Amino acid sequence: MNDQNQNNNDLGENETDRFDAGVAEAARKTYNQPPETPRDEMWSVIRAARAAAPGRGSSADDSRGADVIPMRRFRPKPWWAAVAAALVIGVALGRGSLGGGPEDGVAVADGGTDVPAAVAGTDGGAPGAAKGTTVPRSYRVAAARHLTRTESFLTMFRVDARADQLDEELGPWAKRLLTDTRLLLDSPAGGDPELRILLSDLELVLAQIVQLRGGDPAEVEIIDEGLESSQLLFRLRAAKATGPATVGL
Amino acid sequence: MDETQLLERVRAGDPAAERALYDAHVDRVYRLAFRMTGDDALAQDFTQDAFIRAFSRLHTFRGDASLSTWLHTVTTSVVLNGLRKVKKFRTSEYELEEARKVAGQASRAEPDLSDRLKQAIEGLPDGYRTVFVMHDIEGYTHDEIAGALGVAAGTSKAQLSRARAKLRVELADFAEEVVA
Repeated sequence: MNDQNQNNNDLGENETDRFDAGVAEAARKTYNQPPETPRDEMWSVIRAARAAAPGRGSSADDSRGADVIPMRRFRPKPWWAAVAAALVIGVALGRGSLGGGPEDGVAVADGGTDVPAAVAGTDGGAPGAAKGTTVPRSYRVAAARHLTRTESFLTMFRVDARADQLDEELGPWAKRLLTDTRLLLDSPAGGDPELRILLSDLELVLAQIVQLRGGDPAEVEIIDEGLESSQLLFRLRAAKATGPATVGL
Repeated sequence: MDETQLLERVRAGDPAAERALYDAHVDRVYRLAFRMTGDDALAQDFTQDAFIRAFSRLHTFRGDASLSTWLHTVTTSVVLNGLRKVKKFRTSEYELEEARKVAGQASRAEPDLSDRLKQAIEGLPDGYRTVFVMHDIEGYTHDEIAGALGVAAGTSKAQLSRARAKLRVELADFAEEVVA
């Protein structure tokens, strides 16, 4: 309140109003300016979810759990639980694969060798540092962290998929990871051939998971088998094992 | 088609009516979600979830307020509740953004008004920021805000007043530019 009075006194009531109006106007033009509403894109998701919901059109809508469905959908479980569980699994796996090496949040050196091989751009025993230098460090750091997060997510996904207990928050999470994967592919990090292959494989799997909102168990099984056959988790862990899993700036 | 007819058709499961209801309100919901999150994927998630829940709860609408008011109350609540949950984890999602900033650092040394404004708005306490974004940026009325947040309209007005006061302090250096 003191701030407000002080400012009102400094500016005068009329000027205060003009200042407030000017701030609001500037904010409307510049603050998180929304793009055009993706109406059709969102509507297709809403329709799919509505069509998949049990008791659609009934007034007893919230008895969603009454029908037998293999996947949980749109149940208001806090998503932080999924994130927290995934982080725990991810850290545990990372520790296992690194043999006690530096973990999340550890700032490491300054060259191209402090990041996973795929991130640094190494291939098949070739010295990695030289190729790694072609990708700006900030992107290599971002890629390393992205791989760590994606590994945690995929591990969580497999655990849930095999228990027929997919959490509804996995969809939005996969969507964000998919967005980041595509951004990385389009960034200088995507110029590294080995990382590009890994990211492309991730993109495919994440896109399949994003499309899973209907929760078809057969599709879940196909994705799970795809993960197995492409050895994606193994490759992610291998990429991490060649250097500290997460690199700090 | 008036609201009553639309509602009857939606309740009867008419997809065209659902789409009409959606089309009438989605812009406002998505815009608020985007303004609050600054993230297209999150804004889409919240908007979708908001409409899914609104449609599924339509049987609870008793006609005490207009359908549009009720719909906005439900959807805005979903967006804001979702935002609260997400906020705790947002920091870990920013590496790519940071990478872009680091890689593309411009020579600009001084922040301009839009940078400072963004910083100032994001520095507001959650309640102030929400009311400021809803009222001053997206044009919600205090009654709409009160309904969505479950507070009195007077509380909304008081929070807006405090938000503006804080912004005045934070942006005092830009007074001439702001008023011009």
